[in-house]
Amino acid sequence: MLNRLFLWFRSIFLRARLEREMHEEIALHIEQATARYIDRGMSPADAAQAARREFGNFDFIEEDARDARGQRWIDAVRSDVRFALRHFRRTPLATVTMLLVLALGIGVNVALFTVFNSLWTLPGPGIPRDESLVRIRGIDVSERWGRLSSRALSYGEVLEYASQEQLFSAVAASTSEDALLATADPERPPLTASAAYVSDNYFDVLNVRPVLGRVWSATPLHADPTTVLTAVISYANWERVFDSAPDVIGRTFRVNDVPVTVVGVAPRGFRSSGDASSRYAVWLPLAAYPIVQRSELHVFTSPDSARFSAIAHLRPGVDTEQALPVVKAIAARADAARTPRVASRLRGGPMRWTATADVVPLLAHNQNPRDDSELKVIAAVMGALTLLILLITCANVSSLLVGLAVSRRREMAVRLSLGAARKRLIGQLLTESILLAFAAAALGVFVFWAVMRVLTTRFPDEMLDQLVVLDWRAALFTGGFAIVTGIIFGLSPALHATRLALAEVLKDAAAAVSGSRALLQRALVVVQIMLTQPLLIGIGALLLLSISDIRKLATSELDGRIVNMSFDPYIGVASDAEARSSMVRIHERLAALPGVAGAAAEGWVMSRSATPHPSDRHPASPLPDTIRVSGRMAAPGYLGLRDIRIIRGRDFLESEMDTIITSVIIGDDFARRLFGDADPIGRRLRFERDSFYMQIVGVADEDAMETLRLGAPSSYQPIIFWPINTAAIPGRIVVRTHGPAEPLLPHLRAAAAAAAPRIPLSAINTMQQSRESTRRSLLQGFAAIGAGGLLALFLSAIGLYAIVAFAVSQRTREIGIRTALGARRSQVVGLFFRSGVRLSVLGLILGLPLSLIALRMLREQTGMPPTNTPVVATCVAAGVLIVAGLATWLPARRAASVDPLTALRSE
Amino acid sequence: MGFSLVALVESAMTSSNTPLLQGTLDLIVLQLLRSEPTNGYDLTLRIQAITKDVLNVNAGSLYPALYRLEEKGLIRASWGVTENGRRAKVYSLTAAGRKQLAAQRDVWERFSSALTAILRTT
Repeated sequence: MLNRLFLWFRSIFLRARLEREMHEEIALHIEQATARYIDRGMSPADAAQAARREFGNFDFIEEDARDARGQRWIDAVRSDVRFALRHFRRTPLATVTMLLVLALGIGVNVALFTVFNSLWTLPGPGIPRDESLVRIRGIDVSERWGRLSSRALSYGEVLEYASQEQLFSAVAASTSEDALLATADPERPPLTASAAYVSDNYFDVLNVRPVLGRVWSATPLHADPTTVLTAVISYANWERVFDSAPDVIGRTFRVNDVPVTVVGVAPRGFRSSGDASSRYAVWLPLAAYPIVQRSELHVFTSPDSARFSAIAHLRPGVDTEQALPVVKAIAARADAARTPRVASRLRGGPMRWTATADVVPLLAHNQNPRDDSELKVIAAVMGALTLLILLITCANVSSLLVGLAVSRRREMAVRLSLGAARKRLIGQLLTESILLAFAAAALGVFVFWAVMRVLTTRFPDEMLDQLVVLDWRAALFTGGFAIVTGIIFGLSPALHATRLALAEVLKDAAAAVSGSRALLQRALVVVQIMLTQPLLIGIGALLLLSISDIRKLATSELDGRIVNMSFDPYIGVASDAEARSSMVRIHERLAALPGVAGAAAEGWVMSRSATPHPSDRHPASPLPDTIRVSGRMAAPGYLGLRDIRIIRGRDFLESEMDTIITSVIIGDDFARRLFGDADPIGRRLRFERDSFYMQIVGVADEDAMETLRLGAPSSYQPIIFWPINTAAIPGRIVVRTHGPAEPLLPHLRAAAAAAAPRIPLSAINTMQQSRESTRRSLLQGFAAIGAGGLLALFLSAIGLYAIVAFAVSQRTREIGIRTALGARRSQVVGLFFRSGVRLSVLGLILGLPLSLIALRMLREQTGMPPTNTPVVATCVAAGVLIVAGLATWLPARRAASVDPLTALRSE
Repeated sequence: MGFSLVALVESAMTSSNTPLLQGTLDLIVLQLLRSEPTNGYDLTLRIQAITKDVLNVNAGSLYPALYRLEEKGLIRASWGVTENGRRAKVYSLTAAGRKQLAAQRDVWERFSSALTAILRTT
């Protein structure tokens, strides 16, 4: 068996050597024969000639020998490839079309595979692949209502794992927090970064080497923090904070006001082993945690404090299965050690703790347990979708190939009648389709790669740096996928093209293609058009909506004079009091700037459900019992600053800004819908999970409120206001200027930095700028959806084109007879045109119910008014018909160019 | 499906128009290689010498037969040196070849004795 395998490999890869050896062997044979003849007394020349004559025809023998070695198929493949290339050169338009269609079908599948392959087989950006690296995960801490979720260990657990030397050769610990990064450079504003506190062996365990400087070497987990603190910074941080300075090593900067010295720069893309929130990361020794985060030492000592992640190297021969019982046992012990009071308090709070533990390979996809399960669903759905796209593209290309084969039917018939094996012809045709699939795969991969490149350079924060890697798995998948695809779409046309009644084809009188095949093709096109229509109608409706949205985006002349400034008041300061006083200082400084008309604090925007007190609401109110509202927190004076007039009642009072808030201001329109003509002041609303009702203290102009929205109201969500809840310090200040605000932005930035140098300014935009960027992203989104719909239309058009083109070439003879009998060209064209259009109309009609469902879903999702939909539906139907008409007219026109003489020559 | 494996195999078998002769040549080659490893030219000489020039095996059928046998794993090729120092490919029998030879010889002996019997009686 092995021997056979060896010979087989030899015949493929050592072809040249085998040939050489064969020549050498034959040459020796002739030489020896010549020598023998000379021995018998011939002259050397005669002897050589006799030897050669005796041997026979070299070429025949060599060919026979090659055959015997089973080597011929290589030559066959080679000639098939040549044949295919020649064929492609002859039909460039069809080839390019098929290439593009297939590139789409194969490309999306390869792209999907590559992304998920990277997530499931790579440990994360910047970390070298290592099978023995594992993540030890502890308690599942998840936000009760939110999506945040993490797996945490107490420091005691980490130390216990580190002592399990029979399982783990090394254990590294880390924990991360947001922190304030500042340099001595006064021009450079402070920056919110992710500070990871890591054990000294962290980089060693991950095998991450710095691009500059050094990382700490493996020393015991406890380092001496009393000396100067050292830090490794991320590549992005190096670029942004230090302008990629080559002499960055040894420079000092401040993390939460604690000076640290740069000792190394992490490689590009390396973020962390999974717990960093920002590209601007800085790694500090674990022991620095209490100092930099200003926390007590109990983070290390208390079993109640669980905030660490652990990465470990399994010992050779140990797998996660073996490690799991030990990990579970340690986790159970740690859970038992927790103070019951603390545990129960934590379990009742906003974070839900679930005691659990496991050990999993360090892979990008299991960074976050919640993401992990979501990713699986996404992968399944996307996979089904991309396979559907592949199926459609394959079907279309298959139809095109069947059509093309008609023009080669004569060629095939001649070759078959000259004795060519059908198997060989099928092989040739399949080689063509596989080659096509390979080219398409290459194109698809290239486009994917280019798109990824553009995305990662343009949106580095959103994209996972370098996480998508085209490795051998992806390459293997692509190659295999291309072969399978080539066979899928190529086999049926190849079988069809070579199943011929020779005599009839040679007489040009072959019967039409088998009925079932034609029916199948037609059905496929009808289904495509059926599916295209709701897609396009949905897109059209969204497009209309977005245009009207953009029109509706209430703009106000005030936009250019309103500046929104966002700060991170909590990052890097010692206490709430300090943050609070800093924000007050910033506020005062901004308000006092020349050119500034006023400033007011603004809280967060949140969507809440509101329930009016049952005895307060008007019995005939059109609104449901519980209404979704967009709630905003505003300081006194905020409404006036934004030109929102209070119609009844009053603005908030300073005294109402408290840790418990009880008053609310609503819009006049909302008030009317809730309470009718009754006076809304003093009536009560309850929000979400609150146990008490708030009182309406004021009613404001609702139209003016609309100018606060950046996007359009996607559904009716009234805006309401609360006073700022002082339990948290709001980080947003709105500034109103007398003239255009844009020139003042640098002054505002400088004033804020001067008032509170430690509070980082995370964003500063005029209302106008924010509106424009919202509009841009809306348009980009719709452009993407529109492109998808057009692609679907393009695919259907190709399917339709293939069918009509095929019908025309099938019925050349019939056309000839009709023309000879006096049919006008327009009649002939009309014949085919009508059949194509009939198919599209059928598709459109069948797609109607689907479109109605799609529209209803869209309306429910977006609150779109129903009046536009007939217009959209008509437009889409007309558009589809025009494209379908074009796709049928192009090949149908060819029917008119059939010369009756040529067509009937064979009669 | 328009083609079947059976038809394929059949066509492959009928395409070699002298199956008996081919089988015979294989048998001869295996038998000769049993005694000692030999190169291609020496094989033709030995066939001629042993059969007293009755069988004139030409190179055109010998080399394809050798390659086919090598492909089947019945013989093995290695590079040796001729008496005058030329590099030459030398063929020798493998274990599988030895087994095949025994089986083939058995078949042949029965066949030839049957044939002899027929030729004698009529």
